[in-house]
Amino acid sequence: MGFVSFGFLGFLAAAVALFHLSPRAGWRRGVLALANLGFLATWVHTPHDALAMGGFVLGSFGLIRLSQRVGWRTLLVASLAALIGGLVWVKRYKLALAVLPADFFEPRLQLIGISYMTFKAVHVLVDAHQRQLAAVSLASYANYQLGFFSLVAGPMQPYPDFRAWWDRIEEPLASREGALRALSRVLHGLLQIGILAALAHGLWQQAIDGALLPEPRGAAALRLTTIFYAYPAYVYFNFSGYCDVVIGAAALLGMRHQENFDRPYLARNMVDFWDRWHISLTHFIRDYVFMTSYKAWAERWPRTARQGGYALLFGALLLAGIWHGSTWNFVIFGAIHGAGVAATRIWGDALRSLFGREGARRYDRDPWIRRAAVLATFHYACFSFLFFEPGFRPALERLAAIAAKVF
Amino acid sequence: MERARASGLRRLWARLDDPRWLFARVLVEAALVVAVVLASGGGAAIVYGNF
Repeated sequence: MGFVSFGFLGFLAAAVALFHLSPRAGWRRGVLALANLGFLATWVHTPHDALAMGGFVLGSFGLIRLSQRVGWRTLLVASLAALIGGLVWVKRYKLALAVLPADFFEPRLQLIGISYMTFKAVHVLVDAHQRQLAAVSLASYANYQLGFFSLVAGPMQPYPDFRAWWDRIEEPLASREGALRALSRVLHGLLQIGILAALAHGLWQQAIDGALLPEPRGAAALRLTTIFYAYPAYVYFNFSGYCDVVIGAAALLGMRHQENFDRPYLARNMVDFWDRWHISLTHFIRDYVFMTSYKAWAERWPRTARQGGYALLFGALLLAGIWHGSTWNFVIFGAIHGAGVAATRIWGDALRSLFGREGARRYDRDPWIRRAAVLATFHYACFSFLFFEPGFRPALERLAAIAAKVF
Repeated sequence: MERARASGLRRLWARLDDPRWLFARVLVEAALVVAVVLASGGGAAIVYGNF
């Protein structure tokens, strides 16, 4: 079910109405489960995919409960390997074929939202293993994983936030104004996807489609400029619009989602960019990849903790890039972001050692330096999005053809 | 001039954000969404949903 459609609007209206007409918590949970399954059914096309989806939820739940009960570290490591291995298999990672046989990815499965579901499962598994969670129930976990408001593309809500709402699901909405604001947010998101993202995508598509046509140098330069700026605009408006829909839809049911965007193209460096872009992914990568590995490094090699931190930052963002897609261009995308984030930290540390803390603070406060930094970061991010397109190879060939006409 | 325009825009936004106008704003936004859905045919995919 597409989001900018009457089908989705009707579905959302029906789900919200039935939810609030249900008087008791059990009824509301039932309505939510039915809505989640109904929405899921529009994205799952074969019985195999449906079985695999159910298998993933039940299997990961089993691992979580077992890990919570016995607390074996070996079981945790094996469970994490199974989850990540499953993700690599379902997404058919091209880079894994360097070490795996060509028919490894058969039979093919298409599981909507598997990247998000895997990271959510990892989060619950690790927190359950560390005894940071109360008992995880199957009903709450299944609805957490398959929630229609975040199934397709996140955001990755922390399980304790979902559970807190699940446990007080019968509470009515705080006010009429709150409900109207939530509805307004859904509509804003749909307008953002349907107008701004569609406009940016149309511009990009038009520019890339005419790449092979003969044209003067000036026209080719304009085409190249359009591609450079239109695709990042499309990704931002599309994804942040989707997040508005999701956050608004969840709020209509009384659930609060954390924000996933905060004007990312106004970031002053790449660390700041990731504090403003896909914030729920950043938190996951920070907590479960970077902090875990940095702690282990610093305990084992305390003398090189700082240099290790730079390398691990690079590695964490490289992993985030690879998570985005199964082809090689996402490795490049991740490497660009990893290099940007590590360079930001190295630069910050160098400034502090050269000018002292006060000097570095003056540097940070200088409005002209800030403007230049924002401009540079914006263009660095735009450059990275050249490697973000799912159909990357044909796009790159066309890009090279345009560049040849310009330079 | 520039400043006056900016403050005019801020005033307009503050008025649209006023709880008394919220219902009217939602109605206008809903009408716009209907127009967009009719015009686009509902084909917009979520780019981050490809995976």
